[in-house]
Amino acid sequence: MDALTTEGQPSAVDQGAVLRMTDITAGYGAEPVLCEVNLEVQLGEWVALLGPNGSGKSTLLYCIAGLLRPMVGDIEVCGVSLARDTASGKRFLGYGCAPELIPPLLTGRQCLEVYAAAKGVHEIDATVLDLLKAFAMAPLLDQFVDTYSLGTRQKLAAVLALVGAPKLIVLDEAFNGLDPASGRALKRHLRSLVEARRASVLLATHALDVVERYADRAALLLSGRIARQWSGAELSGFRSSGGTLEEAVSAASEAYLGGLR
Amino acid sequence: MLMISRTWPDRQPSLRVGWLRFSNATRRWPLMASSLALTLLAVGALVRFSPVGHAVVAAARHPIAVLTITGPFFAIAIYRRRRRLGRDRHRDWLGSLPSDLPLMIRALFGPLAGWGCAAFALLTASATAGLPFTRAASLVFAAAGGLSAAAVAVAFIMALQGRRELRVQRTAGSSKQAMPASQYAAARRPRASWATSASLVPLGYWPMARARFSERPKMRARTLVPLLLCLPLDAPAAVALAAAAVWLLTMHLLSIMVGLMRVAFAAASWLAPTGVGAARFAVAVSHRALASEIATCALLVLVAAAADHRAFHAALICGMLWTAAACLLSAAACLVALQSHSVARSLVHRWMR
Repeated sequence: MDALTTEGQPSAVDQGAVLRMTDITAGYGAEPVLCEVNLEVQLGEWVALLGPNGSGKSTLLYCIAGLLRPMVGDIEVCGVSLARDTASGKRFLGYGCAPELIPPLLTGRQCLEVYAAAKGVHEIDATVLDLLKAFAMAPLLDQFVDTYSLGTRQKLAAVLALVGAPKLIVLDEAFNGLDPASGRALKRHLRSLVEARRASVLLATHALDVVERYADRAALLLSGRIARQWSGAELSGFRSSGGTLEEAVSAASEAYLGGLR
Repeated sequence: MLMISRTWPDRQPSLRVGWLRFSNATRRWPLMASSLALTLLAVGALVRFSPVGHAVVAAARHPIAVLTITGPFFAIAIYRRRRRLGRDRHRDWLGSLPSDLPLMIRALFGPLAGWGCAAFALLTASATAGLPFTRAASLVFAAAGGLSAAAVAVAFIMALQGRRELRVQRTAGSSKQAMPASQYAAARRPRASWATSASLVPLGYWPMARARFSERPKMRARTLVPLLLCLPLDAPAAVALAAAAVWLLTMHLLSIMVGLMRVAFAAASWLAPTGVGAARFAVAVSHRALASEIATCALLVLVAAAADHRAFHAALICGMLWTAAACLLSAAACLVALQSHSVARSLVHRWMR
């Protein structure tokens, strides 16, 4: 079923970039965290964002989700500039918030209803409900969030990101705390969306095995700048050559930080 | 199947979440709803039967004074809420949604609810407790005027601040030197004696910090204002000051004890797996709090003696009893906390063996 009302949706969305970040410098107060970041994500692409703790991955995702205004530069989501029309840009976006931020005094069902109503959705997409079943969350939906385990909250956060059939799904460490079966269900669901060109995924993660297996492209963020990118061919090259992304990331980090010193 | 409502209030997530939180809380803890109703009734009774009623009538004669007092009060409340919402925007789980109310409107929710409760209490008092309706209405309107003026002033200040912050950010963003070399987290000055010796003594700061948090100026004001309102209008300033001093010291004693109890359980759940001894644990957690209790009791006795030398003995006995009770309570709390958080030490476990 078609879930999201798409008033004002540009017709070129299906062909073009769902995310275009141009010279983004952003931070907290006057302290910049990101410096001149350029990143583009095409429709039907799974991009992984890698980097050590504090490198600016979450800050980058905050900017895309419209939670943090960049100091310089522009972000376009499906051709809509967030600086000019934040509300329209957010219609194409599904952001998986940190699980600890979901209010404890709401039930899972109420959280879904709030998200869906705010996105202007008539009904929640059947595939999302199927994912809830795969997560074995159906019996928990009417319980309060504060009774959920960390993994269950993480599942709810991931499902909230998928409400409203967004074109760009932005996830921050979405597989933390998930049991293997639920993690596999989420990865397969995201992969199916990407392969059907119904959405793109931007995932900030430290799980390099997920990147090697599922991502089409990976970008390494170091000290607020994109230091290195790996194409899909390079990522699949790791699988065939027996090398690992871990070694490649480590080498790229040392080379980049050595160059800065 | 989840059916989604599409009415305007339902599409404002923060509004809807606020309502859901309230209704869920009353559903989950029915006592909360009845205590809310009881509070409103108590306010009505207070207006009817206590000198507060006289204060309200006196205030209603001077609506300009009420407006002048409520204006800054609401302005501070709205400004704090607006700053907090702006600061925590990136931690808002609803922040990525396309439709939501502006932060300024959301900052008004709390003060508006406070004004609504006050208006309800005043109008109820006018209907049931003999407060003239015109007096109650003039008070409500004066407070509404203060709230409106405060909202306009805060919106103006925030607009000015926003422009200034944007200018600062643009300058920082365009500077090539602005990017820090590595991590962006502010580096704290390292302590000279950082974790060099194993000691439980720092645990003693925890209850004091907890007590300081619970008696921060905002909370003190909330308890002190009703006390001062309960004093007769013709009470001398010395009496009011003495009452305020005694009240603050008493609240300090209570908040330290409450802080000590809460910290004892929190610290026990943290340290129980380490096998720390009960006596060491109790001394470490409570020594600073108990020292502060004794000092505050001594101060109270001195204040009582200064006010009336005949009250010295009674105050001394009360102070000693309170100190003894505090020592016993803190020891019991630490022991119970450790017992309840340690399977190996629990009485049930010993009995089973």
